Amino acid sequence: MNNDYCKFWYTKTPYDVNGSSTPVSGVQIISGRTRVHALWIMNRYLNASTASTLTRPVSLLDSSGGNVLYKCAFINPTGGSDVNPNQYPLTSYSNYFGGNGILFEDGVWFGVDAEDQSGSIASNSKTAMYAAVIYSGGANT
Amino acid sequence: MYNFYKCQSKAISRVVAAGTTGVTAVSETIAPVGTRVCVRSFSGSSTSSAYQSTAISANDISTLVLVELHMKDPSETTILEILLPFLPTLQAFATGGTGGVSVFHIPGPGLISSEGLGVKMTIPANPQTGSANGGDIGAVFNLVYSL
Repeated sequence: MNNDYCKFWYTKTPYDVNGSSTPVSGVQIISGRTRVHALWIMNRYLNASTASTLTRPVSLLDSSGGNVLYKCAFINPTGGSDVNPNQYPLTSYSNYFGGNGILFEDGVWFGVDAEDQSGSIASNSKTAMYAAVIYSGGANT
Repeated sequence: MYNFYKCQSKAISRVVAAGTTGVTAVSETIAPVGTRVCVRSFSGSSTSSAYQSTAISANDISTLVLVELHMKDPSETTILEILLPFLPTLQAFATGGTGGVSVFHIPGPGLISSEGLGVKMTIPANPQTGSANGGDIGAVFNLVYSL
Protein backbone atom coordinates (compact mmCIF):
# COMPACT_ATOMS: atom_id res chain seq x y z
CA MET A 1 0.00 0.00 0.00
CA ASN A 2 2.98 2.29 0.16
CA ASN A 3 2.27 3.34 -3.40
CA ASP A 4 -0.75 5.15 -2.04
CA TYR A 5 1.57 7.70 -0.54
CA CYS A 6 3.12 10.66 -2.24
CA LYS A 7 6.58 10.76 -3.69
CA PHE A 8 8.52 13.73 -4.94
CA TRP A 9 10.48 14.55 -7.98
CA TYR A 10 12.34 17.76 -7.32
CA THR A 11 15.43 19.71 -8.18
CA LYS A 12 17.09 22.47 -6.22
CA THR A 13 19.65 23.02 -8.93
CA PRO A 14 18.52 25.95 -11.07
CA TYR A 15 16.59 24.02 -13.62
CA ASP A 16 16.82 24.79 -17.29
CA VAL A 17 13.64 23.16 -18.38
CA ASN A 18 14.27 21.95 -21.85
CA GLY A 19 13.88 24.98 -24.04
CA SER A 20 13.37 23.01 -27.20
CA SER A 21 11.39 24.25 -30.14
CA THR A 22 7.62 24.05 -30.23
CA PRO A 23 6.04 21.69 -29.53
CA VAL A 24 8.05 20.91 -26.48
CA SER A 25 9.07 17.31 -26.18
CA GLY A 26 9.72 17.52 -22.47
CA VAL A 27 12.16 15.70 -20.23
CA GLN A 28 11.03 12.49 -18.61
CA ILE A 29 11.07 12.85 -14.84
CA ILE A 30 8.84 9.96 -13.71
CA SER A 31 8.35 6.49 -15.13
CA GLY A 32 5.43 4.11 -14.87
CA ARG A 33 1.75 4.57 -14.15
CA THR A 34 1.52 7.74 -12.12
CA ARG A 35 -0.98 10.02 -10.49
CA VAL A 36 0.29 13.58 -10.24
CA HIS A 37 -1.08 15.50 -7.28
CA ALA A 38 0.72 18.82 -7.37
CA LEU A 39 3.31 20.97 -9.05
CA TRP A 40 5.53 23.53 -7.32
CA ILE A 41 7.72 26.04 -9.03
CA MET A 42 9.92 28.56 -7.26
CA ASN A 43 11.36 31.51 -9.07
CA ARG A 44 13.79 34.20 -8.22
CA TYR A 45 14.01 37.69 -9.54
CA LEU A 46 17.57 38.94 -9.53
CA ASN A 47 17.34 42.52 -10.62
CA ALA A 48 15.87 44.64 -13.33
CA SER A 49 18.61 43.86 -15.82
CA THR A 50 19.30 40.20 -15.18
CA ALA A 51 15.94 38.61 -14.62
CA SER A 52 16.30 34.90 -14.26
CA THR A 53 12.89 33.50 -13.80
CA LEU A 54 10.77 30.91 -15.42
CA THR A 55 8.36 32.98 -17.48
CA ARG A 56 7.41 30.36 -20.02
CA PRO A 57 4.38 28.16 -19.45
CA VAL A 58 5.15 24.73 -18.04
CA SER A 59 3.60 21.52 -19.28
CA LEU A 60 3.32 17.99 -18.01
CA LEU A 61 3.11 15.54 -20.90
CA ASP A 62 2.20 11.87 -21.09
CA SER A 63 5.11 11.02 -23.41
CA SER A 64 7.96 12.72 -25.22
CA GLY A 65 6.26 15.23 -27.49
CA GLY A 66 2.95 13.67 -26.50
CA ASN A 67 -0.27 14.93 -25.02
CA VAL A 68 -0.12 17.87 -22.65
CA LEU A 69 -2.22 16.78 -19.69
CA TYR A 70 -1.54 19.88 -17.61
CA LYS A 71 -0.22 23.31 -18.47
CA CYS A 72 0.22 26.41 -16.38
CA ALA A 73 2.03 29.71 -16.21
CA PHE A 74 3.40 31.50 -13.21
CA ILE A 75 3.06 35.08 -12.10
CA ASN A 76 6.44 36.53 -11.35
CA PRO A 77 7.75 39.77 -9.96
CA THR A 78 8.15 42.04 -12.90
CA GLY A 79 10.84 44.43 -11.85
CA GLY A 80 12.15 46.95 -9.44
CA SER A 81 8.86 48.79 -9.34
CA ASP A 82 7.26 45.76 -7.74
CA VAL A 83 9.91 44.97 -5.22
CA ASN A 84 12.67 46.62 -3.33
CA PRO A 85 15.29 46.83 -6.09
CA ASN A 86 18.02 46.04 -3.61
CA GLN A 87 16.46 42.77 -2.63
CA TYR A 88 15.53 39.86 -4.79
CA PRO A 89 12.63 37.78 -3.64
CA LEU A 90 12.30 34.14 -4.19
CA THR A 91 8.72 33.49 -5.07
CA SER A 92 6.79 30.33 -4.78
CA TYR A 93 3.71 29.27 -6.64
CA SER A 94 1.94 26.01 -6.33
CA ASN A 95 -0.69 24.11 -8.22
CA TYR A 96 -2.60 21.36 -6.47
CA PHE A 97 -4.77 18.81 -8.18
CA GLY A 98 -7.75 17.33 -6.40
CA GLY A 99 -9.11 13.84 -6.10
CA ASN A 100 -6.64 11.15 -6.95
CA GLY A 101 -4.57 13.43 -9.12
CA ILE A 102 -4.02 13.39 -12.86
CA LEU A 103 -3.38 9.95 -14.33
CA PHE A 104 -0.31 9.53 -16.50
CA GLU A 105 -0.49 6.00 -17.83
CA ASP A 106 3.19 5.56 -18.60
CA GLY A 107 5.38 8.25 -17.14
CA VAL A 108 5.55 12.03 -16.88
CA TRP A 109 7.50 14.44 -19.06
CA PHE A 110 8.23 18.00 -17.93
CA GLY A 111 8.57 20.67 -20.59
CA VAL A 112 8.27 24.37 -21.21
CA ASP A 113 7.05 26.36 -24.16
CA ALA A 114 9.46 27.69 -26.73
CA GLU A 115 8.64 31.26 -25.77
CA ASP A 116 7.12 33.10 -22.87
CA GLN A 117 3.85 34.95 -22.76
CA SER A 118 5.38 38.05 -24.30
CA GLY A 119 6.91 36.08 -27.15
CA SER A 120 10.39 36.23 -25.71
CA ILE A 121 12.71 33.33 -26.34
CA ALA A 122 15.38 34.64 -23.98
CA SER A 123 17.31 31.67 -22.66
CA ASN A 124 16.95 32.68 -19.04
CA SER A 125 13.16 32.69 -19.31
CA LYS A 126 13.14 28.92 -18.99
CA THR A 127 15.10 28.60 -15.77
CA ALA A 128 13.39 27.80 -12.49
CA MET A 129 15.22 28.05 -9.19
CA TYR A 130 13.42 25.01 -7.90
CA ALA A 131 10.82 22.66 -9.27
CA ALA A 132 8.89 19.80 -7.67
CA VAL A 133 6.19 17.37 -8.70
CA ILE A 134 4.24 15.43 -6.08
CA TYR A 135 2.92 12.10 -7.25
CA SER A 136 1.96 8.59 -6.33
CA GLY A 137 2.46 5.42 -8.31
CA GLY A 138 5.52 5.58 -10.61
CA ALA A 139 9.14 6.28 -9.75
CA ASN A 140 11.68 8.97 -10.42
CA THR A 141 13.68 8.31 -13.57
CA MET B 1 -4.85 1.63 4.60
CA TYR B 2 -2.75 2.59 7.56
CA ASN B 3 -4.43 4.47 10.32
CA PHE B 4 -3.11 7.89 11.16
CA TYR B 5 -4.34 10.10 13.89
CA LYS B 6 -4.98 13.78 14.33
CA CYS B 7 -2.41 16.19 13.06
CA GLN B 8 0.41 17.49 15.16
CA SER B 9 2.72 20.32 14.31
CA LYS B 10 6.23 21.48 14.99
CA ALA B 11 7.54 25.00 14.51
CA ILE B 12 11.25 25.45 13.92
CA SER B 13 12.75 28.92 13.82
CA ARG B 14 16.10 30.60 14.20
CA VAL B 15 17.63 34.02 13.70
CA VAL B 16 21.27 34.25 12.67
CA ALA B 17 22.88 37.53 13.61
CA ALA B 18 24.51 39.76 11.06
CA GLY B 19 28.26 39.95 11.04
CA THR B 20 28.80 36.19 11.12
CA THR B 21 29.99 33.72 8.53
CA GLY B 22 29.25 30.15 7.54
CA VAL B 23 25.90 28.47 7.85
CA THR B 24 23.80 27.59 10.87
CA ALA B 25 22.14 24.20 10.88
CA VAL B 26 19.08 23.58 13.04
CA SER B 27 18.01 19.96 13.40
CA GLU B 28 14.88 18.55 14.96
CA THR B 29 13.65 15.01 15.31
CA ILE B 30 9.97 14.74 14.59
CA ALA B 31 9.78 11.00 15.15
CA PRO B 32 12.48 8.39 15.85
CA VAL B 33 13.53 5.60 13.55
CA GLY B 34 10.96 2.85 13.32
CA THR B 35 8.06 5.25 13.60
CA ARG B 36 5.65 5.73 10.74
CA VAL B 37 5.00 9.40 9.97
CA CYS B 38 2.71 11.03 7.45
CA VAL B 39 3.49 14.62 6.45
CA ARG B 40 0.39 16.59 5.55
CA SER B 41 1.64 20.09 4.89
CA PHE B 42 4.27 22.60 5.79
CA SER B 43 4.83 26.30 5.54
CA GLY B 44 7.71 28.65 5.95
CA SER B 45 9.54 31.77 5.06
CA SER B 46 12.84 33.46 5.66
CA THR B 47 14.08 36.99 5.86
CA SER B 48 16.90 38.39 3.84
CA SER B 49 18.97 41.45 4.21
CA ALA B 50 20.47 44.09 2.06
CA TYR B 51 23.67 42.17 1.57
CA GLN B 52 21.96 40.12 -1.07
CA SER B 53 22.14 43.06 -3.37
CA THR B 54 25.85 42.48 -3.71
CA ALA B 55 26.40 38.85 -2.87
CA ILE B 56 24.17 37.01 -5.23
CA SER B 57 24.53 35.42 -8.62
CA ALA B 58 22.05 33.99 -11.03
CA ASN B 59 22.50 30.37 -10.04
CA ASP B 60 23.43 30.84 -6.42
CA ILE B 61 21.24 29.15 -3.87
CA SER B 62 23.72 29.49 -1.02
CA THR B 63 22.02 32.69 0.12
CA LEU B 64 18.73 30.88 0.64
CA VAL B 65 17.45 28.87 3.57
CA LEU B 66 17.35 25.17 2.74
CA VAL B 67 15.05 22.76 4.57
CA GLU B 68 15.61 19.02 4.35
CA LEU B 69 13.14 16.36 5.43
CA HIS B 70 14.86 13.08 6.04
CA MET B 71 14.29 9.69 7.54
CA LYS B 72 15.94 8.80 10.81
CA ASP B 73 17.63 5.71 9.43
CA PRO B 74 21.42 5.54 9.93
CA SER B 75 22.13 7.33 6.66
CA GLU B 76 19.34 9.87 7.19
CA THR B 77 17.92 9.29 3.73
CA THR B 78 16.65 12.53 2.24
CA ILE B 79 12.96 12.63 1.41
CA LEU B 80 12.66 16.20 0.21
CA GLU B 81 14.64 19.40 0.11
CA ILE B 82 13.03 22.76 -0.35
CA LEU B 83 14.25 26.33 -0.53
CA LEU B 84 12.27 28.71 1.61
CA PRO B 85 10.87 31.79 -0.04
CA PHE B 86 12.00 34.95 1.59
CA LEU B 87 10.11 37.89 2.81
CA PRO B 88 11.59 40.77 0.88
CA THR B 89 10.16 43.96 2.30
CA LEU B 90 6.91 45.47 3.32
CA GLN B 91 6.59 46.79 -0.19
CA ALA B 92 5.86 43.28 -1.30
CA PHE B 93 2.61 43.32 0.61
CA ALA B 94 1.75 46.77 -0.63
CA THR B 95 2.09 45.68 -4.23
CA GLY B 96 0.21 42.45 -3.98
CA GLY B 97 2.87 40.17 -2.71
CA THR B 98 5.95 38.74 -4.32
CA GLY B 99 7.17 36.73 -1.42
CA GLY B 100 6.24 35.99 2.12
CA VAL B 101 5.06 32.85 3.78
CA SER B 102 4.37 29.95 1.53
CA VAL B 103 2.12 27.11 2.52
CA PHE B 104 2.83 23.81 0.90
CA HIS B 105 0.12 21.22 1.00
CA ILE B 106 0.90 17.65 0.23
CA PRO B 107 -2.39 16.67 -1.32
CA GLY B 108 -3.87 13.26 -1.80
CA PRO B 109 -2.59 10.68 0.63
CA GLY B 110 0.28 12.68 2.13
CA LEU B 111 3.96 11.89 2.30
CA ILE B 112 4.95 8.86 4.31
CA SER B 113 8.12 7.83 6.04
CA SER B 114 8.24 4.49 7.76
CA GLU B 115 11.61 5.21 9.34
CA GLY B 116 10.89 8.27 11.42
CA LEU B 117 11.36 11.84 10.38
CA GLY B 118 13.84 14.61 10.96
CA VAL B 119 14.08 18.19 9.78
CA LYS B 120 17.30 20.04 9.11
CA MET B 121 17.18 23.73 8.34
CA THR B 122 20.33 25.37 7.01
CA ILE B 123 20.51 29.14 7.33
CA PRO B 124 23.15 31.24 5.61
CA ALA B 125 24.81 34.08 7.45
CA ASN B 126 25.11 37.68 6.51
CA PRO B 127 28.76 38.65 7.00
CA GLN B 128 27.97 42.32 6.64
CA THR B 129 27.00 44.83 9.28
CA GLY B 130 25.82 48.40 9.14
CA SER B 131 22.74 50.06 7.82
CA ALA B 132 23.54 49.51 4.17
CA ASN B 133 24.34 45.82 4.09
CA GLY B 134 23.61 44.55 7.57
CA GLY B 135 20.67 42.63 8.87
CA ASP B 136 19.96 39.31 10.52
CA ILE B 137 18.78 36.26 8.65
CA GLY B 138 15.73 34.58 10.11
CA ALA B 139 13.81 31.49 9.12
CA VAL B 140 10.71 29.69 10.28
CA PHE B 141 9.36 26.34 9.20
CA ASN B 142 6.10 24.76 10.36
CA LEU B 143 5.52 21.09 9.78
CA VAL B 144 2.10 19.44 10.08
CA TYR B 145 2.14 15.69 10.38
CA SER B 146 0.39 12.64 11.81
CA LEU B 147 1.84 9.69 13.65
